Amino acid sequence: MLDRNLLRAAPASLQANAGAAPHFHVLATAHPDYVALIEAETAFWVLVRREEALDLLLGEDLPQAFAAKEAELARDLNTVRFGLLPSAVYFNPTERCNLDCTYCYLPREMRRRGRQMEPARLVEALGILAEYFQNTLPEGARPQLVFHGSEPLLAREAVFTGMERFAGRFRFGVQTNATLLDREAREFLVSQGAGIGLSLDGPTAAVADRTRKTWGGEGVFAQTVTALEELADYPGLNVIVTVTRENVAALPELVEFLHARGVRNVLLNPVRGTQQGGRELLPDQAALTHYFFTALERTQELLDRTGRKLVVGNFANLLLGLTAPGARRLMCDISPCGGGRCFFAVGAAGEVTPCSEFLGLPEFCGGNLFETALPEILASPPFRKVTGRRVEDIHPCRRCAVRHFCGAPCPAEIHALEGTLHAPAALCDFYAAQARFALGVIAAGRLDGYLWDHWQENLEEIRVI
Amino acid sequence: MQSPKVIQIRYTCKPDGNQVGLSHYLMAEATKK
Repeated sequence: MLDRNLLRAAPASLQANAGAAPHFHVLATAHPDYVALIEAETAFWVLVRREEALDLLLGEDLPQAFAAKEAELARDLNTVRFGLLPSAVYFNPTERCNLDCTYCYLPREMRRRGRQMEPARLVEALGILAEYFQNTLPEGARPQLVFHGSEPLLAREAVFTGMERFAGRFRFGVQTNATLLDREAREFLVSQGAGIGLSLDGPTAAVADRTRKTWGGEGVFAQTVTALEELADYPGLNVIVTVTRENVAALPELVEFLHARGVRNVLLNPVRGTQQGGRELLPDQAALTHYFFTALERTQELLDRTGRKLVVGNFANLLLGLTAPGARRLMCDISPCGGGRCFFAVGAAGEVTPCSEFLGLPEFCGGNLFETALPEILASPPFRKVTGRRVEDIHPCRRCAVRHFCGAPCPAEIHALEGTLHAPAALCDFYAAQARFALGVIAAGRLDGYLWDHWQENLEEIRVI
Repeated sequence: MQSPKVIQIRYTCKPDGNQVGLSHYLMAEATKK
């Protein structure tokens, strides 16, 4: 017999998942006792004990509480997705590199014999950028400018001249393979308060040198580790690990290696398949998921044992995406991604692309910094293609509960792999698992252990339920 | 300790032009703002 009393007389809007009511996905998390109920449109989630989940989902309290805050939640997410101004630049002062890392996002010929900026030209470029940001950003804002590569220290004189000339106008960073980072260079960068990113792919030469080596085939592990040890106390240090099938199993050991040397920030970035070399090194997703999570857990074991944090920045960023979307520090795991709308890349000849990942794909060049006004470049068709790429327009992302914690990255990689921007992430399974792991971390009360200290500063709480 | 029945955490952050927002590079702050 049917029981019509089960159909409450409440307005349809208070009965989840039908009519105008909000739709909540139910998602298993890495925590055995909790599931997540997710309203994906606003990136709202609530963790609830499994045995209570159905009552919460079918009751009136959740839809009612959500309805009261829906506009605020939507506004918050929309600001992050569509309302931010460009405030950061990847600046490649040279196309050349003294290494031949097989997975690089720049084509090999470009790295071998490419163009390089003279100091005066680089200063001219920074002047154009500084003026643009002065006209667009609020007073007092200091945009980021990261000298990236290829190897930016091959253009050391130009880079250091630019940093001196524009000190105070930008927050500078340098991403380097450390082979040219001699004492003088280190002291200069530290004196400027610059961020320093070192690339290191393994805890031993045997692992690290599989992918990162000179044109003659020699590894540079020892040089990188020396530089790392000399900078370990520097708060602006960050280590970038490119995760490939060659080093994925070594991630837990690598985390221990870095922690033992006092490193506080690391990015464990899965390689992008934008160029053929990267495609050949894409890690197996199941292996990536296993070792990545093991490495994350290792950071917590080390924290418990020593009281010292090693923050895995790309995972911490996902946690921020869940808890404070506007405070995120990286912009790959949201759609549209940050390319072309939060940051852009400038190549050694002044060409401007949405992200450095696109520098090897000429069809995504929006114009030249020295020839075309930046607002025009940022509104160019190649940029609009990237800035207009939304998960809502991609199948099956549009129905995914974690679409706004993943973002279906990366457009450059997907374009190279699929010939279209409108396809899901190459590592879709990994990103979905990562979101469920992150929700489990929160359920376990370990959020602070994975995040930077003081992460809640200047944030306002939105309390829904 | 009894674990909570429901956990919900969400903060908002006003854009101020200093949002850190790159892709594969993280600007570790060398000096406290």
